[in-house]
Amino acid sequence: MNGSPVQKDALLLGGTILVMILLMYGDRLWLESPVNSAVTTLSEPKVIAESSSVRFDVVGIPQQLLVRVTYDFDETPLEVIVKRIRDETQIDLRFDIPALEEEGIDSNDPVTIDATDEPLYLFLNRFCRPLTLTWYEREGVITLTTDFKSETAFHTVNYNLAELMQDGYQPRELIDVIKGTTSGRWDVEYGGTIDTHGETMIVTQNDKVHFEVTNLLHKLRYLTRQTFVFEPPEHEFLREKLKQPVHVSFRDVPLTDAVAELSRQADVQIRIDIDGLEEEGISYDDPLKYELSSHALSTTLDLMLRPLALNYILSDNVILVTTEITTEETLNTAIYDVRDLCGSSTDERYLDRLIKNQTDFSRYEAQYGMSIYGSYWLPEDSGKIVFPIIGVMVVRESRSVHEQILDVLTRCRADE
Amino acid sequence: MFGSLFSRDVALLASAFLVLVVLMYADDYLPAASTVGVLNPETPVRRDELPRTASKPIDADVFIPVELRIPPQLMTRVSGEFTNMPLNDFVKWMRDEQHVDVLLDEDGLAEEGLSIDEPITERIARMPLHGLLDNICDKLELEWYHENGIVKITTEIKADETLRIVSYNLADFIDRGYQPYDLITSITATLGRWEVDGDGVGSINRFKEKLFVRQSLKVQHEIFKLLSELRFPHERTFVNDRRQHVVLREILRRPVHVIFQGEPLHQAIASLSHQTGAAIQIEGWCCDQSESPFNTPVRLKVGPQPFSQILDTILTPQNLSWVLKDDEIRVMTLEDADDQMVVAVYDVGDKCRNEREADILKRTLKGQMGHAWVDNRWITPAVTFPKPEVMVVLQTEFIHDKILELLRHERMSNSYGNGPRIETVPRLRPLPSYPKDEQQPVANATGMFSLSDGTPEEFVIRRRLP
Repeated sequence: MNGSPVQKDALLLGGTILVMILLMYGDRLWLESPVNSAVTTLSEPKVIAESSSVRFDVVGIPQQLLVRVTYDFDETPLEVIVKRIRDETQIDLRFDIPALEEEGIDSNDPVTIDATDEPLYLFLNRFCRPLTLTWYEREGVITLTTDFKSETAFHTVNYNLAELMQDGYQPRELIDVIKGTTSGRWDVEYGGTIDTHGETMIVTQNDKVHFEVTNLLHKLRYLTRQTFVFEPPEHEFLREKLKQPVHVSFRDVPLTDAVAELSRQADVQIRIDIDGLEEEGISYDDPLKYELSSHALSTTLDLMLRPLALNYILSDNVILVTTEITTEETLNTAIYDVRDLCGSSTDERYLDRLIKNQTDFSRYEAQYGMSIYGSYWLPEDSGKIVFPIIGVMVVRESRSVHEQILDVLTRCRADE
Repeated sequence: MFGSLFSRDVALLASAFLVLVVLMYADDYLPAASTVGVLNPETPVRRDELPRTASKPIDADVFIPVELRIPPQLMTRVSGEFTNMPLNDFVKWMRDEQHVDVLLDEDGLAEEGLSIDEPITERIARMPLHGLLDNICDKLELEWYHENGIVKITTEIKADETLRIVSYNLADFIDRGYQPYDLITSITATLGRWEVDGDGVGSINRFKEKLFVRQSLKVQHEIFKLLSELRFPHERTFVNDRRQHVVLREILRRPVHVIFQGEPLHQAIASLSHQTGAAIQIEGWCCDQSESPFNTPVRLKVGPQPFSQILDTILTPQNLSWVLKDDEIRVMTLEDADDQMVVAVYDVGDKCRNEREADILKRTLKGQMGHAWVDNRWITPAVTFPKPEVMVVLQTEFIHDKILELLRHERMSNSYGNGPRIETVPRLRPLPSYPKDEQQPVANATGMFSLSDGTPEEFVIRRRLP
């Protein structure tokens, strides 16, 4: 019943060894915690997600504008387009007639635009941009107004910082990151204001900047290797398409036809910013001569566009071929989880210097000498790196510089 | 009964614990099999024990960064003959026959006055495609590089403007005693142009144990070669040296007989080229320039003398000199020759064990070589120590030979290293001298110098007073 002392000793010895083995190797036996999930939050260990290196989503878009639409308008008056959207989606969509009249825009001006199963807000962005219009939402009404009126129409929004402060962010640093990496102006004369009171941040700005602030504060909580703050999920599809191989055999083909052929092969919308090219005096009819076997769409576009002083950006669900200057002026903000690389403010300084020296960071600024702040007519938007907390880097730069930054960070992490 | 059982349990528990502890920490206390019989690296080396240099360089290709590796499709070996084939047809041949996409920078070529139909003549036997590209581009003074699976052929200027990021792992350098900051200083002082120079474009940063360099592909290759030499330093190794230059140095040391009876200098040079089989090119000379120093008659009759000294004898009176460049002996003005600098790595572990000794050596070199270090040239000469035991120097090959001779003079020549001794090329040209208005106090040393008429005369080596 009780067993012999030898059996008891053997049991005791076996049990002891088992306990010791568990103590020694327990950490390898436990089920791994979900640190490799697509998104990590600040409270989780310092392992940067491998599986989803880039994250796209947007918050702060009115629910009614997320409805997917398909249109094909050819030389259709503005008023007709707006009416059709209103009829089909039941959205209260209106023109700010006095503002349009002030800018000399007639609601009967003809527009050619199409959309294939995409969210209405992206269609509206693309529709508005060439007309220097923008949209805003108040109490369920969507109003189309001019850029100028929208930029100067400030209103105040309170943001709750409680969750971010629990993650370790300090209000002072959050103000710095918002001022540094959104497109808002903050100068005393013409800019908005930002302040904190306890766990509340009070921001007075225009709609566009409020949209950026909402997304920035939201995404600071969910970190990946590279999180674009203002890019829609549709751009993830475009980035995948840019990796798709294409084959070109162009013999004296104009750029417009070449781009159309690439668009057909990759089955993605690629458009040319005709107005931008014409403004810079760049011809899009000159014949191109390229014979290349299978290479990624991005590589082929780079090869074709660079000699013409052109480049491409991702803009409202299309790949837009535009001038190099426009590309460098079109800044995006991305958050980088660098907790594995930066454990102290010294590391941050080294990383900051590394990125500024090893990429085209602020190349436009350096080339054209437009870094003077305070003069309202100069571009107040320029490249910026801010560390709101140790291990989190927020960068405002062009598409190509963000690609270079991701490359540099990948090299920092590589074992070689 | 319980008491004895309990104490037995305790004893068993304690012994089990002891066994586990021994198993856990055994590695820390038992000598590893591979370390048995090896001297403790901390054992101090006696001052009179000169360091041993590796007799055979270790293959450094294992360290080559991914960005600098030759892509597999350019490793294909080909044989054949191109006779006056237009460059554009070569591009088509590469695409259709070798399945390698090649892009010609037509605008860049046009800027240099070249067309896409430049004729190519090349005979190759089992040559890799990258070697063929090297040969073709060398002849047309073009550059090629590989990016995203595509070979681009462009001008040297455009290639220099195309910057690439390459990261070099410094972990093993730190293990070998190099300081990252001093490595950066050696690289920026001896290779490429950098942002800190004001007119350069390259940039270099250290992050953790990696070195990030943004530079042209040409400079990246030079940096890689410098780092490779620093891993395994020898008595002296030229960084980026060409195989043909080793052959030319050997030819320059061989004795030759010459009899020149008043023929123009350019003919004398051509005759020497024919006699020795060495390719010699005269820079900046045109046959219709009657005032040219290359038309000066040469009278010289000497017995077996090293080829290099014969060259110095006929060139120096005309303020001319020669250097090794692009697989040839290039004859040029003394001023131009002094701008043709190369980088060499010296193992000075027997002379310098700390920064103080390295600084003394640096001052000695600068003191002994006089004007050779003055910073008033297109390229600034430099002496750096990425660690006290290793010296990296940017200088003309002529001064490099003087440095080696100086180091040997101080060294017990018979006991240095077990590798083959490097032979320097004997020269007769004097060290660069100070301009008259910058005369420094000097001590004179005398030697024999043959003038163009074959009369031996005294020459002076300038030495700064200690």
